Amino acid sequence: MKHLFCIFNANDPTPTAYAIRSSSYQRVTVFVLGKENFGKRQHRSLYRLEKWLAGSAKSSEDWPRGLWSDSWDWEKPEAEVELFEIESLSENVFEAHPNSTIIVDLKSGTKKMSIEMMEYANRRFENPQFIMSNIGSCIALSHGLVVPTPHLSLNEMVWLSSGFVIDVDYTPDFDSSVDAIEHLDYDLQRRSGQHRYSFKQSYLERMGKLFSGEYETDRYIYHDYLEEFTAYAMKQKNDYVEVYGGVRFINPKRLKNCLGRAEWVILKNKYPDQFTTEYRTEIEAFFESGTTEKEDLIAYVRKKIHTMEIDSLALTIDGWLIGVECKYGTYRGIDVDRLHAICSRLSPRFYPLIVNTNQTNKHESGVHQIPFPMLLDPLDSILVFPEILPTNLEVAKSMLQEYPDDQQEVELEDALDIIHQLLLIIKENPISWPEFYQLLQSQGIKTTGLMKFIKQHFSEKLNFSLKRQKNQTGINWIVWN
Amino acid sequence: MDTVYSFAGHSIVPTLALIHSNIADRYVLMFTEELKENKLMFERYLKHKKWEENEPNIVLQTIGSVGKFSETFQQIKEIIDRNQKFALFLQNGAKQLLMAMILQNPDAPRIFLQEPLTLQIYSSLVLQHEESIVFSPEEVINARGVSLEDSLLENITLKFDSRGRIEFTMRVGDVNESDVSTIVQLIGKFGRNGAVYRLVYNFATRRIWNTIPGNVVSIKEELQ
Repeated sequence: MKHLFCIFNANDPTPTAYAIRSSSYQRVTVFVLGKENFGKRQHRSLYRLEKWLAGSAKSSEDWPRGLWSDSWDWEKPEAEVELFEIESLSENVFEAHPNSTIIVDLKSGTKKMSIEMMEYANRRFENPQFIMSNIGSCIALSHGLVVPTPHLSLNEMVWLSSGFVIDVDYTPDFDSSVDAIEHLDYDLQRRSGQHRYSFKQSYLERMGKLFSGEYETDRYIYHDYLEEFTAYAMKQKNDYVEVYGGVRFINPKRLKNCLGRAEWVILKNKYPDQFTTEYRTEIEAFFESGTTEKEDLIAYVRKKIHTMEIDSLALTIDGWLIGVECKYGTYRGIDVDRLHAICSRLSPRFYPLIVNTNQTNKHESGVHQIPFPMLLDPLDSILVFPEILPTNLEVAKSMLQEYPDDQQEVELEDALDIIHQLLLIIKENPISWPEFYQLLQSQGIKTTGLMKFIKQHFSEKLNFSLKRQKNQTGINWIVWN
Repeated sequence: MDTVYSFAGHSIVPTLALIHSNIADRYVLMFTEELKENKLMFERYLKHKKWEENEPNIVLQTIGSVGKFSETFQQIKEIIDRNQKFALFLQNGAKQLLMAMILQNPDAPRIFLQEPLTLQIYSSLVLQHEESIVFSPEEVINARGVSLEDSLLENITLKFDSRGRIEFTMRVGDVNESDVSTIVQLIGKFGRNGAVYRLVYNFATRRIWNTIPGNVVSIKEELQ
């Protein structure tokens, strides 16, 4: 029997999931360390792992019959998985059947934890094997080898890293992708005083597009095909594991919100589409009762329950989730910000990319923007990672993530440690007074009388003085002596 | 102890703490391919370094890329001489390389650097010995190819902070583009997390203020 031991990665359960998937284990023990100190973020991570182990992110049976799509689920791991809550690592926490082959994954946890895992497992078992699971490969540390392992699906990756499931319009087929790339034909055209790349009409016709000769209708062919082409270009490259076009993100834990949003979008629309006009009564009845026998109505509603949507989503072999928006012609800063906001909201694993028709590429507002022919270049040149310096607020926030943030109404007297730590952090990474007290409020700490409290307990000890500014902005509310 | 084996890291302070510790006669520092420029700089530093007492034997080794695990695993195995009394310094290096090194040598003492500048030696998981390390902050800049006389350090003082991190403090009246550029160059040389950067100033326009990197501690005060 193959028995894997690993540590639950509390800030993102993805590494834990790919450790479990790294081989065909019969048993897996996941150590959940220090759960009593978990904040909301860590609890949410644990929930996502539990759902992943169950093979579905479906939160309850309240979903109207037929609305949940089976394609949103995944195959659950074959192993019998135990989540074992412990305060700290020790020799005694390693329990296994005699004659088990013991494998210990050291990917998650700090260096210190990994050394402890290694030490205790060595004491407890004879010849345990040590591995470090990565996306698509696994390092056999004991043997100095790297072996390929199965990838998690894109849907699993999105769920594990962000808590959303994806509903997609299409998967580009490989043959069409080869065709689209092999026969790609485009030129530079002058539009609105600027040169832009444009697909040639003959190429689009070859790809099955029908032109009417009317500019107003034909121009949309170019717009729509840019999305298709982007999906094709990514599909035919070995750097990508999975590619989808027309991707909607659904939060399965918020069924009520999902339905509320769909109801609003469908029924309150000033310009209802043909389906809504035709079936308004049935749609209203569905939102009232939550049931319907009409499959096409369910399918129609399913396309409206999402929180966010993007044009394409691709998973690279290195585990990046490339979120793509395609822009034919001009677009505005707000479009760039929107994509950045979507990807930031999902997870740090997401890489926002705009594919456009401009002549040159640029990296602006955290989003790389490339002309569509560049999609054929090596992936390394497409993904750009400029050094991003964290803001002082991010530095302070990252400190607070180590504290539980799900407590409510903590008195200032009980938060001395947190405040002390935060003051030391902001000494080196100054933030404004509103940012400071909002950070404490986010931890459930009562901030009434905070200024006075800080003055009383810390100003002498840490050697600073406080000055309340009229407009409350800026970082000079605290002066270090 | 005869030899301590260590990986070089992006931060130079742990390496300097190790070679100034006198805990061994010989230090073998392994630089992955990604850090070959740091190796060249460190070679130059060692060439000009004047030791107050016994000069330790410091060997710099280049090993493969951190991404080519199998190759690097084999190289580490060949570099470590098991006929000597040796220890492993575990403060620097990618986790997979460190774990592989421990697995190859499970009984070797393990050395960590704790803040502020304290070396701790463990046997398995038990702390056996610890000692504070003293060296000047000037060593840190020298090891990165910068001297105190360098124009880059004009208006800048340096010291170790309470956590043993190198701290650069720039004092200016009105902040201008050149000041910000100097700080950006320092960050480029010593790393975003490799040092603490402080700017003490009297006045900065909003435009200049917006160009100051977010990790710089900016302190507005009335200068004399």
